Amino acid sequence: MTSNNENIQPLKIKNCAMLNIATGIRAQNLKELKDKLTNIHSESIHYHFWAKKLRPGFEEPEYNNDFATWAYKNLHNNKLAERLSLINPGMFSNIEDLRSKIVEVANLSLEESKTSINAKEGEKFQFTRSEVVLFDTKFAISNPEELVDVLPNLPLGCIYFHFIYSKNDTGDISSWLSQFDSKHNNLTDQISKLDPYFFTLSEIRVKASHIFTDYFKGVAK
Amino acid sequence: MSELLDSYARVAGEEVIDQLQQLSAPMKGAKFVHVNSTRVGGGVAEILMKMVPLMNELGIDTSWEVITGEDKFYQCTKSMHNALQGDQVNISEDLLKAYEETNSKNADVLRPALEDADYVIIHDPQPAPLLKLCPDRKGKWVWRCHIDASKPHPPVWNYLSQYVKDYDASYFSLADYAQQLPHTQYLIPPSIDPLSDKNMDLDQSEIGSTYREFNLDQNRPIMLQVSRYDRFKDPIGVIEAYKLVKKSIPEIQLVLAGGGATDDPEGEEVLNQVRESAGDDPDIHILLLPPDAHKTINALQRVSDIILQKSLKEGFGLTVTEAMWKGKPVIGGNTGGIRLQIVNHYTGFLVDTPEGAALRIQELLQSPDKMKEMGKQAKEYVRKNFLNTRHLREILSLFAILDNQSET
Repeated sequence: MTSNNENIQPLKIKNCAMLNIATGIRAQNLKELKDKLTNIHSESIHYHFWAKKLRPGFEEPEYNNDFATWAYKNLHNNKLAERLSLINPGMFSNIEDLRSKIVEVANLSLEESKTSINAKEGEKFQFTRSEVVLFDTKFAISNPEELVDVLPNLPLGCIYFHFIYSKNDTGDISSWLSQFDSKHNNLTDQISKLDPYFFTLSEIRVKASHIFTDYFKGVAK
Repeated sequence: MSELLDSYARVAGEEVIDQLQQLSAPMKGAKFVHVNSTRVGGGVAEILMKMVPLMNELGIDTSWEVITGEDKFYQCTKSMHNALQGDQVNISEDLLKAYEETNSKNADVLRPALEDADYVIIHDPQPAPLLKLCPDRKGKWVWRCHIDASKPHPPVWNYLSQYVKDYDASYFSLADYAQQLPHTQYLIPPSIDPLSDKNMDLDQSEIGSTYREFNLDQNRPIMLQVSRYDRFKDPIGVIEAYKLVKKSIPEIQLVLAGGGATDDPEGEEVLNQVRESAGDDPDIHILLLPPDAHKTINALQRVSDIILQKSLKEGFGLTVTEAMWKGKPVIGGNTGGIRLQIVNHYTGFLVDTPEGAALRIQELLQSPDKMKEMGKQAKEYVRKNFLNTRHLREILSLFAILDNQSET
């Protein structure tokens, strides 16, 4: 089915900043983490998978989410860290399934281990959540080809908003592309396959820029 | 864009200033008041000194009020500070009475401005009771805790929380410091001002004169710690580390540069202990700087090879950020907010003992390339995360969220 491209609303480019919020809920060892995960607010689970991309920190994370990083750095449990790091939130249709998966991995580790390691004081797992504040950049894109020039220069807050925060919602780039007629199906497909979980925001920007550049070079040919 | 905003845009990026303008637009003309307990000395005063003009430049009618008190008030608040940092200090009824009476007297003076304000931030425990003393307040009130309150002495926290619980929100530097309170607790690390005397670029002549002024040998390595003479900053531990390094690198020089905050009555006692520990070593330079010696500190950080902040407890440790902004690797105590700033082995080293500090000092002095690379990474890390433009964006976001909550 083709759509009338003229009726497609321009993609308003938005930027965002994150304000972190303490929940006051902490865990000192894996059992406590598992027990608290069972009831923790779903926003906190989302936070610990995605927020590190916008938080102060180095851009070369050893592990992909806060649970895995804590298991590695503070519980010194590399096996658990690797298993937790492999949990890709994009593969779960809802946050409850994601929660169950983390609990399952934690349970497996608890069954395997005879001893429980406590994190040191000051290194407990701090369950956190966030509120995202949106900014209008005054940029709006009407034609996908404009992104060839715009994407490489977008601030990382924009990349977070358009590739992670608004996934499957207004503002999601692949959802916006999918409204165009079928000639851009290949582009839409490539962008929707770009899994943000495994990349830093800078890497996502570079990879997405390459996809757009290569695609429109090809179309031009 | 005004000249001031333009200057910030050149350092932090235009996008950052654009965000500040967007966030401040609905607050234009609103009355915003900061309250703390000292105009000079210490990190809070330094933050406000530059934050307040920046907020005014954005069109928010911002003022900074300082509460004043007598000796007993400062004795009480210093004990409170220590107790929040974990000391098992019990504060006498007499001192608590001075705390309450001082706040009451200050409230009489500040009440009209505070009750009329649209937004108020009360910094730290000293002025915390002001909220209860302003019953006709109309604005949003937020309590800012700059202290590492991760393990507060319970009786003191229980006393203080009776004043803090009624605020609309509070914010802390790290999640570890947040306590059980009936309102939302945000996490906002503090920041430095890149344009201030303490952090601006200096010309070579200013840097060069520092060697002469403090009798430092330009051709020998210098290690520096800048901080108040406070036992939680562990100046004695720094001297121990220096003595260990001196055994293998005899040419090392140590500078301890500190001053007093007007709200810290323990400084002199600690300074005497430091002098005693240093003995008559001519390569240990103990400086007592006035609170406005910002350019001197800037120059000292620039002439130093390695900067330490070997604190045993530290709410945040702005001296770490300042040193990193000068492109220096920092060796910091593995505690509190220092852990957020120093990415161990990337922007500096985290240490738990004088021995650990001595090891890393020797390692760096023997690897100039590593020192340079770490310093470069440290500066970029600060640019992205710890400038006051980011700090203000988060404060304005917090109040925007509170305003939205009131509307819905």
